[in-house]
Amino acid sequence: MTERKSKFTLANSLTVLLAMLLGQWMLAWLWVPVDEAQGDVYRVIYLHVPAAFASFLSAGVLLIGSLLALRSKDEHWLNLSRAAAEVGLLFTLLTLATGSIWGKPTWGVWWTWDARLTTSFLLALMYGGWILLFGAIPQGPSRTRSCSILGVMIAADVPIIYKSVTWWRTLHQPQTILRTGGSTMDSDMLCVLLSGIAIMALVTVNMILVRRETLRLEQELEEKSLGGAS
Amino acid sequence: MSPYPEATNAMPYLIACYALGVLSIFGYAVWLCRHRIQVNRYLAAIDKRA
Amino acid sequence: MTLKNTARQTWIENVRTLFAHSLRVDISSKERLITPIFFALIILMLFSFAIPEPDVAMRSRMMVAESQLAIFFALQIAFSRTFESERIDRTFDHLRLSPISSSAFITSKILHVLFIGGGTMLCTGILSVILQGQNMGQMADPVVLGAAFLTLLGLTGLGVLLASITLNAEGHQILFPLLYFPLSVPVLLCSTEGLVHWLDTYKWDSTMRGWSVMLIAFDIIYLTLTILLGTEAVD
Repeated sequence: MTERKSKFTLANSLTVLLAMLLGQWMLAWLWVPVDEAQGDVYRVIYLHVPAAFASFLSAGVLLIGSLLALRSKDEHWLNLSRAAAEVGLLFTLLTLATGSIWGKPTWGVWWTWDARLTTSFLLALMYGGWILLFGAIPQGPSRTRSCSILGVMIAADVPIIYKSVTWWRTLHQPQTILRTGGSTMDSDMLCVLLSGIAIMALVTVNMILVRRETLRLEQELEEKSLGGAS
Repeated sequence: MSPYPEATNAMPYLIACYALGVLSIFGYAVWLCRHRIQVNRYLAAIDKRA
Repeated sequence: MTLKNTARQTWIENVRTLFAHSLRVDISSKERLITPIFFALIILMLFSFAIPEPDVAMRSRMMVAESQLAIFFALQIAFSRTFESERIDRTFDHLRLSPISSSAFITSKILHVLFIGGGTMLCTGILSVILQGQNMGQMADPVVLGAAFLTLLGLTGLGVLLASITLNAEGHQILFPLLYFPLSVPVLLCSTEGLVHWLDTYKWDSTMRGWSVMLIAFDIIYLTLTILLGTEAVD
């Protein structure tokens, strides 16, 4: 019981982190100066970029969960992978949606087959594919192996997604934060953006952990109810 | 002159983006916590019966 | 040392035997060899119906796009059926009892799929050149052949690995393409862009080098993952 109670602190910290996220959005709306070229619409960056980082971070967690599951052959690690895939899908879809809405006033189109858009779209499909594969294989060592292998493959594709922007130079703006020769952003803007990325990363990790614990409890519930029925 | 002529009247786009952010992130967090509470409640009920 | 050499020889013999067996099964039924080529032909025909006659400048691009897509879909058919004969013949049950290592099994499967894929690719390429009214000499160009081989290598690695992980999945016929399409797009993009650039300019410049390096990187990633993890999946 104490174990279950202590897990609630995880949910509590999620509430605190979400409050911090709201505060950071307030800063992004009210405090950060307007961009000279794009006007107010550039403020989407404070949601879009952290969400994109969160989708990559989820792939990292998916990789860790998959490798641990492959190494230990313990099915419980699959809960971590599943939580990461779900949260990753959420953030990838959010990145795509906000990017699309931002693209309309700046590029003039809702969607274009640009490198990073295409690869983010593929990432969303891959997360979706992982969740479908998880649902299609019955519980057991086969599911642990197959889903973990797919998890490793998806994570191996993520660096290529990030790198792709330098290969296909199209509409998408070049990297502004992590680039050689320093960032091209104003220091206030950069500060708020980096804090946004940090908070979003914490929110992501927290969400993954809460979901993982819930999945574990669900399994426990299933086992107990089946045990009670027999 | 701005290279993004359509970006001047962009408030609706900005609001739409953040509304989507609130809906998805906060919506998922609320679902997560509610679902968790529900599972906990079921588990407690089973524990009690046992 | 001798023991090690003997073990290696046995492994190679195992691969050879398994590969020869898979080929014999394919040749005896023929259907597995013909279906992908037949499918590629249908796609090429659909393309010529759907798209009007392209101008000269667009022709090489169209030919590459058409043949790549036809090959891509045809290979998907071949890959998704990688372990079909084993499933039907209950070979997995026999393998479990035999001393053959799973790495020998997965290597023989890669070779087998490479063989079927190579045949499919060759037939589709020739048909595409004929249907687009291009010079047949393009097919013998070492760069075109190299790009085709690298594409096949990457797709084969990916196809075999995905076929092995979807082996036990419910509805694996639909799940396979769902996973195969997004993961194979980078390989196709590199090979298509590289080939189009080559057929337009016939110059080995930085763009060509970039696409080739990226294609090779994909091949290495997918083949390494297949060899490392494929045995795990087949086990």
